[in-house]
Amino acid sequence: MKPQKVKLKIIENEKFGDGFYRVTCESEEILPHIAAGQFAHLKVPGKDLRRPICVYRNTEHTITFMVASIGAGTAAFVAQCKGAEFDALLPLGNGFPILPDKTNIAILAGGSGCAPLLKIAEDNPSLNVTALLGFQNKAYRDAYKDDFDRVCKKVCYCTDDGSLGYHGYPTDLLTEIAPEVLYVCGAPGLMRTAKEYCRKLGVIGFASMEQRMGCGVGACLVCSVKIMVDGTEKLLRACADGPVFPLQDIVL
Amino acid sequence: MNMKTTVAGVEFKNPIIAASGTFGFGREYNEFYDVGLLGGISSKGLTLEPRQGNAPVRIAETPSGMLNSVGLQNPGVEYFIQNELPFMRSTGAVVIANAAGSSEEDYVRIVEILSESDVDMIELNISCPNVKKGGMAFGVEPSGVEHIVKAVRKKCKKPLIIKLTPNVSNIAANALAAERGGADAVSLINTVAAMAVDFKKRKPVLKVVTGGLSGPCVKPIALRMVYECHKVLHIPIIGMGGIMTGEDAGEFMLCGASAVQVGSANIFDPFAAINIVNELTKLCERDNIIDVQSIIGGLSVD
Repeated sequence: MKPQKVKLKIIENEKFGDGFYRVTCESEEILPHIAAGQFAHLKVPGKDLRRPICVYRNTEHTITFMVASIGAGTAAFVAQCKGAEFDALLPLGNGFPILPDKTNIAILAGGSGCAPLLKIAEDNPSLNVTALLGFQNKAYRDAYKDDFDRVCKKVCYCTDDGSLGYHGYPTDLLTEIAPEVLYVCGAPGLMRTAKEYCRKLGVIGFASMEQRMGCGVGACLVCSVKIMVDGTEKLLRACADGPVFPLQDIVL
Repeated sequence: MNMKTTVAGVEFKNPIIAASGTFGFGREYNEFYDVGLLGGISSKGLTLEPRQGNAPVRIAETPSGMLNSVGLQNPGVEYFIQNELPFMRSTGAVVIANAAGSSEEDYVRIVEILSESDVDMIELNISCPNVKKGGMAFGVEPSGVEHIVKAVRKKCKKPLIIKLTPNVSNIAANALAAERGGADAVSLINTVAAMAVDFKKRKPVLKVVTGGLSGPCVKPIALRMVYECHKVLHIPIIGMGGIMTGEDAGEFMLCGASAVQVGSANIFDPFAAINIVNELTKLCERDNIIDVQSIIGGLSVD
């Protein structure tokens, strides 16, 4: 699917915790097909560079982004109110591969890293998905509402402060599952544990990477991530070669 | 109305060229629009051998601009000729190969190789601020500029553009040195050496500490430098630095640029370069400019 520039209008902007936002927008034009793990490059008021944000969910005319306000760009984006219009390039990057004969799936993520994974379950109802999801606290979890519960077979919520669910990291629960494929997005520590888990148990793993981005379409070569290619460490483009890579190839 | 312009004997269908390093080899933006509608495309900076470039983080946003420290990541000149040049050729835009090196031998060799290829022009990058030996050694002193241009000129069978760095004391002296060395044109400005700091982390934002500043914040510097070079040069100038609109492009032409390059704007918006073509065309229509070349150097200074 060729990337397009689409005009989006914010119809709902909800804040959770001290800086996590669920921003739902509408598009007058029909949105193109967007695969799980693909992202949108969002124009932000007062900023020249766009901000790459994964697509959390979408319909033909609506799209939702989960945005952590972590810097000047994301802060300016989430400060926009209902009715604000901006443009977005989408869909960009390569999403999570869905393997045809593997139905026993787990997703492992932390915080805003949960966002790119929902569509795996939501768009593929035939998959049998177990979700291990970690959050700072209950407020951050609440941003996801009951979305994961609706589409996953089993969901384990974990919080750093014990305010909801399991008190600890979602990686602690990996020993209790036995998936054929593990999809991952989160902090480097979580990624490292997941990579080691998959290596030891022979589980197929895919992870979505993050890097400061320029053009978002593969031309400017600034969003490099370290990936093993044929036994050699290479700098690949998070935007166009990724953001999803085989977990075992990612140099952490 | 005529939007054509000529630089060193090469005709461009309009004065807008995609700047090296912001446009790859044109493929990615061709997904958004027909890049053959641009006057020209300057390739990603090429070296004799493939280069991995610098460790990330490679980009930082700054007020009205950005820093990059890519470090000449490219697949090497041979790969370019085999795999990227045919596509660039097929677009219909003027094909400029941007070439860099770390020694005189490198520069001469890559120019020899490109001279036997199908490119329309060669833009010699003697001004990359992001690699230790990115040609800056040749690009800073006028004597260094003249020396490298002379050496390359002997082997160069294509129109030769010398890309100048703004990180010098007297840009006009460097431009004149390029002209004396045998350049057919100069392009300016490359990025301004700069840095960004993350106070919270007590660290530079870029992994390699310093990088090249570009975007609207450098436009006034670039305009001044194009203006100063135009006053003394006999060869044409390709102007660049923070061009975001057709009017920006027109300003550079008034200061003496025969054509312009659009760089950072492509990164901000994939349609930037083609929008600038259309805006400049509309501007000419509005002001009854029958030939866009008539505005080159037309700045009225009292």
